Amino acid sequence: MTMKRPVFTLILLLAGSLPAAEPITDPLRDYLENFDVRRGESVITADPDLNGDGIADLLITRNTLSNGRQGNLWVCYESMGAGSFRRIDELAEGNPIEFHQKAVSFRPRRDGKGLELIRYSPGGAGEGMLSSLKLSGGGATETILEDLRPSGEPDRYTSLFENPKSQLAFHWEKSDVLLARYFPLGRWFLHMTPLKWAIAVLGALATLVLVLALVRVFLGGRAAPAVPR
Amino acid sequence: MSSPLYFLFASSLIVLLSPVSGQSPGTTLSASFQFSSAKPVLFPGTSATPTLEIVLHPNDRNTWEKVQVRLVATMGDEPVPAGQMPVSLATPGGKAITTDKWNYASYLGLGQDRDTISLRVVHQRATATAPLQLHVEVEVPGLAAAATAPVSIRCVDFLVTDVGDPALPSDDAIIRNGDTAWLTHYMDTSRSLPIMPRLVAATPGLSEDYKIQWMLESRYPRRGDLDHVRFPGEGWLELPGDQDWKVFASYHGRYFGGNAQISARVLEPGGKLVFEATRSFRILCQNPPDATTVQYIKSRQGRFWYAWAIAQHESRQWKQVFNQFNSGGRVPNEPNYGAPDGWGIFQIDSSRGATVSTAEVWDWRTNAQAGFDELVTAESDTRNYFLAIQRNYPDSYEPPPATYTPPGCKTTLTSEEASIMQCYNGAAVVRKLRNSHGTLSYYRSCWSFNPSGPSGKRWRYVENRNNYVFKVVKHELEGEMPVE
Repeated sequence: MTMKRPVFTLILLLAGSLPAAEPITDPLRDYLENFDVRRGESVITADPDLNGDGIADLLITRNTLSNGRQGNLWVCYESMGAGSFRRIDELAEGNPIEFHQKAVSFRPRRDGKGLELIRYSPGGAGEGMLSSLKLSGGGATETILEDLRPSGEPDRYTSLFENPKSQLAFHWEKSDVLLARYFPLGRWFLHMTPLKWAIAVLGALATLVLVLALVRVFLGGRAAPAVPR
Repeated sequence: MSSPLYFLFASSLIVLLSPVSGQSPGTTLSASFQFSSAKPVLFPGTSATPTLEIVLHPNDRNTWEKVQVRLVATMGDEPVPAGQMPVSLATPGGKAITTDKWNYASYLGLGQDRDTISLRVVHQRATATAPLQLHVEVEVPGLAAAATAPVSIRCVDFLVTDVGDPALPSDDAIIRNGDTAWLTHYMDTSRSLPIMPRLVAATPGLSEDYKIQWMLESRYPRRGDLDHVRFPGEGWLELPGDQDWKVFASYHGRYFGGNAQISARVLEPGGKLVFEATRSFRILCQNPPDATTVQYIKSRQGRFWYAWAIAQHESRQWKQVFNQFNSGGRVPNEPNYGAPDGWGIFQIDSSRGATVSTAEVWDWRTNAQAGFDELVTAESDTRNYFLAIQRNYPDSYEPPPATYTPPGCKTTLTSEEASIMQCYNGAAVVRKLRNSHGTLSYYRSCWSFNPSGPSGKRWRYVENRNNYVFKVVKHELEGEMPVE
């Protein structure tokens, strides 16, 4: 009974110290925390300046997260200045941003407000569609541009998606490495709920008691062999 | 031929003959014909310059002008017809020398004041089991004659052959530089499978005391370095010189193509490298007949009864379907590539999270299996989507419609089949929903759920931007698009 009160107080104190919603300062950490990243995956990033503010925005996905032939599902972290970012993880109709790494390029927007992404969506039988992805009003929009048959217009397709000057540079990193770097204590501590905190505190206390008991046994054992004069 | 060895064998090759009986006892004729090696071996593209020396004594100009020379060639004691000579012979000035034909010494370039010349012996084709025996006869008609001892010459070829069907020796094809070896297909009543070219490399004419090192390498630049294969995996395969390399045994069960080359390095008995060469060729491919492919897919598609129609749509090139390889266009008979990274009959794409393998690109059966695997993934995604909707909207959830019929079509799909088919290309509905662990994951389907809609009308079918389900059903399943 004497143990119950301090444990309960501790839980309340820790629950009270849970972080409130804050501006995103580390997009990669935010992605690892919120998008069910697992070990054994690869996290893929690209950092074009989509909103044209002179600071790189960040596009993040992982190799296992794709939608058929259409490519990966991406989350965009738009820079807001002063080291903070805004997360954009869906388009107007509710779907996430998607594009194939081999069928996307960037070009300056006509309104001069940064870059737009041009993507090709394959439809089978050698046909597909071109569309444009832009950041606007705190979100992102995708506009269908035209049909395209790459085998019929190979030069156009090549100039769009195989031109080194307009290709996005993708960086791959093992999720194991990133998780170990950002969460050295393991995934269990990713989303701390009150129950998890309670288990953690109880576990820590039990460990402390065990250590104290062992120390006492050890000291008692050393004192025992003393022989009286 | 300028080697010091040149003189080593001279003495054994010089033969002096006595004056012809009844001739002036003061006139003698001698000849020597010598190579730099006792047993010369000629490889493709190589030549030798043996020395021919003729000495007339006394050195009388009038007699010299009557000196005639003849080269005699035999193989296995049989004379060799001029057209079947494994070597070509020429004078220092480049004039062709026909064997078994008398020529004046002056034709060969032998002058009274210059009685030693270097002939040019150039490799033409391999000698058979017996080496070529070559000797020189010289005479001044009615006055004197001489002949050299025969020299044994081996000519070695570097042959790469596609032996084709082992039951049909007549379909063997010699592969030369720039040629094409074909990846074909085999069919009988019960099965159909792709067949890599059955390549055999050999060096006919080479004896067993030589060693030969072999290597096959192939690359397909359209896929970067992904289809680079090498046999053996590293180093060289060393065999006795008289043994063929059955290359096809090295790559048994593997399929690849593109720009291939077989390299050979010949080591003489002492281990010295004496010859190396490479045969460069292409490995291109033929599609199996459509009926075979359809039968193969239908026999394995199981519950995905529409898989053959997806394959037909994905691999369609105008009226040609089931193209693992291009049926025409800029690069015919190469793997069927569809932008951005689709390959083969099912257009297997790296967007699935794994690189498209060499086998998936060059073996249509492996490609079909990868297509089935993707349908299994799409099926799992579809079921997980319905479960996630049920988990996230437990109060308003209702089962999706039993069936879906694309507009203008007669074929009816279950709601799950429609979703699987669309997910293969790309789902129109992708939502972030709470998973069973309490965190958020992406789920996809062709069905949009509106929890606040009227009961019985909460599900709505959403076609993707490519009208994929409609096209597969209308064009392929119902046969609206023509097929040749």
